[in-house]
Amino acid sequence: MKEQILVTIEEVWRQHRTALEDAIAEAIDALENLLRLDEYHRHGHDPKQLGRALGPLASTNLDLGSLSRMLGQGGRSRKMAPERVERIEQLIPALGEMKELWSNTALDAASIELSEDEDEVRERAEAYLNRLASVFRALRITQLEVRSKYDSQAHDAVFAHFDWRELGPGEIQSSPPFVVLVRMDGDARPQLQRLVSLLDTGMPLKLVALRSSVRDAPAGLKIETLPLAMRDVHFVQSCSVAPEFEQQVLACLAAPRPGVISLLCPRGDEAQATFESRAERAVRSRAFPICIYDPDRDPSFVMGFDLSSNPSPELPWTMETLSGQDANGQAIELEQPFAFAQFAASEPEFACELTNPPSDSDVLVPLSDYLGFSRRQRLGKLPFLSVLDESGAIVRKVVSPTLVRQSSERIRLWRMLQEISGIDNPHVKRGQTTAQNELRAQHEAELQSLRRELENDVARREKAAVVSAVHKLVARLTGIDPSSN
Amino acid sequence: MISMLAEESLLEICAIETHSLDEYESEQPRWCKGCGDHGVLASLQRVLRKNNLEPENVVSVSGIGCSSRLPHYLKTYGFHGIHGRALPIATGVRLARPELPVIAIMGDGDCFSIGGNHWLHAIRYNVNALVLVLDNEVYALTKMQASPTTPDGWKTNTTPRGTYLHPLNPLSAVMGMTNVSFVAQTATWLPAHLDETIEKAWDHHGLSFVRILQRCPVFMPKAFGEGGLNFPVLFLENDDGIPVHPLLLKRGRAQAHDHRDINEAQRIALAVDPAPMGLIYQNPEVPAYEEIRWQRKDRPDRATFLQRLDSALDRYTVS
Amino acid sequence: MSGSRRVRLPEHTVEIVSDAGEGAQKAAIAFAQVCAKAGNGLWTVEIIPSEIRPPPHTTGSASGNRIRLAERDRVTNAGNEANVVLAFNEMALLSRLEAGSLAHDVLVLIDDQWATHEVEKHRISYREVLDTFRARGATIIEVPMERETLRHAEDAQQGKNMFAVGLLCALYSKDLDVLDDVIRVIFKTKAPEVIELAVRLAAAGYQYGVANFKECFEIEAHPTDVPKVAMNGNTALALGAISAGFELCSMYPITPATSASHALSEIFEDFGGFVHQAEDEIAAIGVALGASYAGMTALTITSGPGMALKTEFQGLAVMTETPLVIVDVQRGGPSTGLPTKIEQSDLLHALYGAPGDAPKVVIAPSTIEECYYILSVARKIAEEFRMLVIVLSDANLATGQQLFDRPDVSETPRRAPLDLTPVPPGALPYDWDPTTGLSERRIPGQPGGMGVTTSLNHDRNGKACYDAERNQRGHSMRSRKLAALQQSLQPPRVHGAPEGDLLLVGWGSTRGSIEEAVDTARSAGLEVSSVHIQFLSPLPPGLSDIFSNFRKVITVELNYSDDWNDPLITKENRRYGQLAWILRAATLHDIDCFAKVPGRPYMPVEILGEAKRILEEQSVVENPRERLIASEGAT
Repeated sequence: MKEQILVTIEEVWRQHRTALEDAIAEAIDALENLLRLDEYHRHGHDPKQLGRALGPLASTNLDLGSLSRMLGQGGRSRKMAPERVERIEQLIPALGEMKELWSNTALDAASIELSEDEDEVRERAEAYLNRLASVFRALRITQLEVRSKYDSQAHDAVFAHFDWRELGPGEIQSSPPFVVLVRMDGDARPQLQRLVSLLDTGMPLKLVALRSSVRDAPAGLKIETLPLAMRDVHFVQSCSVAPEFEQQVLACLAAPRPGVISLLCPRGDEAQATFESRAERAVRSRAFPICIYDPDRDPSFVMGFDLSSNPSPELPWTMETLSGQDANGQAIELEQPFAFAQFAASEPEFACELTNPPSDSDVLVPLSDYLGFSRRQRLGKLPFLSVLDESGAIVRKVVSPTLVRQSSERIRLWRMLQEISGIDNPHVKRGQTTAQNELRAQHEAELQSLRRELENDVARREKAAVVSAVHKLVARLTGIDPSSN
Repeated sequence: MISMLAEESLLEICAIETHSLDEYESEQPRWCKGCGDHGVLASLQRVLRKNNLEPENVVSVSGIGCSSRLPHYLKTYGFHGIHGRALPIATGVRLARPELPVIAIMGDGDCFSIGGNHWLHAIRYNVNALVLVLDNEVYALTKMQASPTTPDGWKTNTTPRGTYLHPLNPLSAVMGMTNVSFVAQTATWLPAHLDETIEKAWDHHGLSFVRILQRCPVFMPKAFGEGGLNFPVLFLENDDGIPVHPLLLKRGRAQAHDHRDINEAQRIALAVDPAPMGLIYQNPEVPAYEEIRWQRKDRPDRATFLQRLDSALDRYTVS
Repeated sequence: MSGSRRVRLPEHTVEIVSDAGEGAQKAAIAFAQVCAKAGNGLWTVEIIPSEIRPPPHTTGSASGNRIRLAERDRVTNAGNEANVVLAFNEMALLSRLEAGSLAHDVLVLIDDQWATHEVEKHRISYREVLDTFRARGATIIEVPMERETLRHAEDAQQGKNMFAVGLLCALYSKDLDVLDDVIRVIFKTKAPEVIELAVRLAAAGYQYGVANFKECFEIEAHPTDVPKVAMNGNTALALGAISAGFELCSMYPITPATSASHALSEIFEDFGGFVHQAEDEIAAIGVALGASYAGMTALTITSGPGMALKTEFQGLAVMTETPLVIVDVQRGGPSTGLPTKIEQSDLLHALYGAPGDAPKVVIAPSTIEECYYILSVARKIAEEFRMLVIVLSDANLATGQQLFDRPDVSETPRRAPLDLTPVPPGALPYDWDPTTGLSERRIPGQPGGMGVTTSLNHDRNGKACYDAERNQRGHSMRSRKLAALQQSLQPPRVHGAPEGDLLLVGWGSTRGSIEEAVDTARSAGLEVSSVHIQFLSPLPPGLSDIFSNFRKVITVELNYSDDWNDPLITKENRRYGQLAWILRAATLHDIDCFAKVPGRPYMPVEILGEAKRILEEQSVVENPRERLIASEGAT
């Protein structure tokens, strides 16, 4: 997948580069038109030019010299000032050079791997971005010239110090990006720190963080929480099992701001199919949650942070069913939460964290319960997981403290992600409860009033019925019809 | 792409300041006191300023009539043409310069009577333009003749004993035309509503047909229930429609309306009493005629142009 | 060509006619191409049935072509009465007699199947028509076209025309191999067996002619290295519009202008333009005007009735000084008139149709070649002078085909880019130069140039005004632009001698016939000359001087004038032809006119006949003694 994603990135980059070249070509065209127009304003009424414009029929009917003199009488007030002509004449070859330069530039000039030498990376990035900036500077000047709005006094200063910081969001969005590859396997923490410090510069880079393992450093900054600290960075953590994976990556590349793409990728020689199933489990277990943070989607953080690509994002974890044989060889099915530890059980680098249980099964507690125990409650207990061994039997494995800690952290991280994405947090819950209560109360009240009405109605009818019955009786007995009064 | 970048960058940095309202006014308007045309002019100036448009990049086109004097007072490139023919001229401008927004201003006689043929076909072309019809239900400039929208029984100089026919309903006529993409109605005595309607119409991509009811204080002082005081209206309400401010509800009630549903729109367009105010119909997907034409044509450079001309002549060459 | 006598001739006119749908037109095209390749000059005219679905075997159904071929490379008109006619049936043949287009001693080649046809009516009419022709002096050759065609094909309808071409090629001593090539090209999109059949039939016709014609013609040809094109005037206008750099043509369908828009529609988009079909004639010119106002000078093409509808907009173009080009392909009027036939009767309308005083430029191409080049002139003048330019073409130019030198595309004028330069502060929108009336045009988008362009009378600042002085000034400024243009026009060239007894003045497509008549007259010693006017508004200088050198001046034009011999017509009430009216007023000469409305071009002999008649009259008037002798006979 790593290869695939780089191919995608290269294609996007190339498209943007072509668009840039086209924009430069258009600008050159527009400027050349200006010069052509000026030429016409200066010489358009010369007899020869008039003759060319009128065509061969002119010579039989018209005296071009006389026509030229007459048309030339009116002052040619639209000529360009000489400084302007000079500016344009210098701008055109400059643009031409830029176009040439860019058409010979490939992605490797626009990408670099983040290693220890941060400064080198920073310099390369800055140089590239400033090259881009010089193109946009020229394009902006062209636009001003085309609209005849370039004013030396005002604009020379503005354009004198034009670097990447002056670029507008539209310009960043349409530029071929500078891509930094960050390999996170191994010692992730320093890499993450370098990544953050690159983002701190404010440069609109696209950082692609690749890792094949989910083994975290014990404590410290988790990459998923980057958006909280850096509100202006478009963040995507995803992998190919996400249904909209390509779109998510493309959106990050096209965003008019710095972007971080955190990817899970295959180990060295891992087969694609194996990787895909591993990735799917990593996502499902929340070991590698798919997070999108798009600052442009909404001014409020919670609306920009999106967990919807994860399975059952409203739940802390999904359940998994293990089918195998128990100790007696009977076929059983066991349901247990599929969380980080369960995923780790199938990852080779966590093999040392799972050990065989002691014979005393009393001390064994399912991990999911254990994680909910207080320190006191945990004393003397051992957390275990049920896993399938090679023969298909369901066996129990004790989970090491390291893995327990990491599981706990992961669950807390997932919980936090849920809260900050607005899926589930106390405020939301309270709101829901209040609303439900109100609704119930309303409902009750309605029911009550309906019941009362009904009762009143029944009472009324009864009374009416009694009254009419009495009337009838009276009539029968006395022969007088009381209703005729 | 380059024009998008240009807009942005120019606005951001390159000293294109925002414009003031009087930059869009070219001379003191000479309409009668109390004429609704003043309000429409102000609305237009506001929408131009809000969108920060350069006055030289806007074209306004009109026919003949009181309202058609508007281009004289709006500081844009204005074309005050001939009676009933604003829409073909507007179409020509759009076909030639699709980057320039165009406003067409007409009166009821100008658009619905002599300009009727162009009006109906313009809907079908769906040229991207703001089309305002200032409907005062009379020919005012030529001193009070009946127009197609003059109400029942009204006495004018050509109908001294009252009009003969029911007035034409322009909303339902437009709703019945192929490719209709934006229909709205508002009134000059509802200035906030007028502003919002014109803004919404401006943002629409396609032909934005807006009928603006307006009372002529000189020839039709009693029209529209004394200029709106006594004129039943129904405000069409929708999240994406024209906002109905609470104050408006003094003039009439509000009703939810789905302006994306053509059948509902056609039904409501038939309503006359109360008159429906607001966004009656909008379909942003209808392509504009000038886009269709521009997309299909090529823009060859000179060398290719001459080469193709040579090939064209080859067809007729005898060798 | 064994056995047959070969007659060398400088030119010949041949007509090919059949029922509609039998392919006479295709036969004519093939024959014309053979002649063109050989190096003959050509002029062809379509013979079109007057209705869409006429009943077959009637005079109304005749369809075909007239081809005039000559040894000189320049044939300028459709010629006089035809020398040869090849007819598929006698009714088609009769229709040409009724049209007056056959010489009395015409050579008739006719399909003889009707002589022994099962339908008695046909047998009778065949005999009668041929008798009529013989009585007039025609030579009839009856050819078994149907029978011979059936020897090679199953359906005579699909092939007789190729047999006919073969016959004609034999008659005119053309090369069968060339015919073979031409047929293969014409039929190149058809199935191979169709092509082979066509070629076989043509060969059969050719062999028949070689074997049976006692006399053949040879019109010498001079092949030239200069590449030539053959097209009709409407196609020339279309290609000319592209060459002139137009990007928008706005139109409404009307005969006979529409085929120009068709030709444009096919290819315009490849050149950056498009054809807009409007909802009516008024919208068509409205769109063109709007586009011109916005900086893209546009074109609208129409005919007489459309011009009438456009007049209000013409006035608007003049009042607002917006450049605009209208092409009027004139046809028979008044009202619907003769939609497919030529007339030159929109001149006065073009000059004065719009209400009020609306001075505009009016020019007329006189050949199909000029149709290609004239739009560049029209556009440039429209833009430089901020004027409306009307180009008057006609149905004859529109449908006839002429060979002319292939235009050199490298001479195509370069399209000027859109001018968005700022308007200098303080400049006025109608900054009329006091001498010439010229002013600089403003285009939307030019910074600082905002303001209203109004149809009301206005002053230099563009604002509406109503007082006497400024109304006068507006008029005089718009008018003097015509004078300014006129000052740069050259006097027209006189064809013939600069002085003489009779001067023929023409405009539009009559040039070829007029000049041929003059040439014939001059070779007979008659002092006739002609002059052709291209600019009708403004008129070129020097006309009065030219006219003064001739004893009599008449216009030759295809529009209506009263006949002097008609009862009630006097000097005071006689209505003259349209150019004659103009020239009389402009030059104060007593110019007469030869102006009729036959719905077809004049033949050179007709014009020659009129010239001779006039010269006769002149000499009789001059010499009373001779007149006496002439009337009393020789003593």
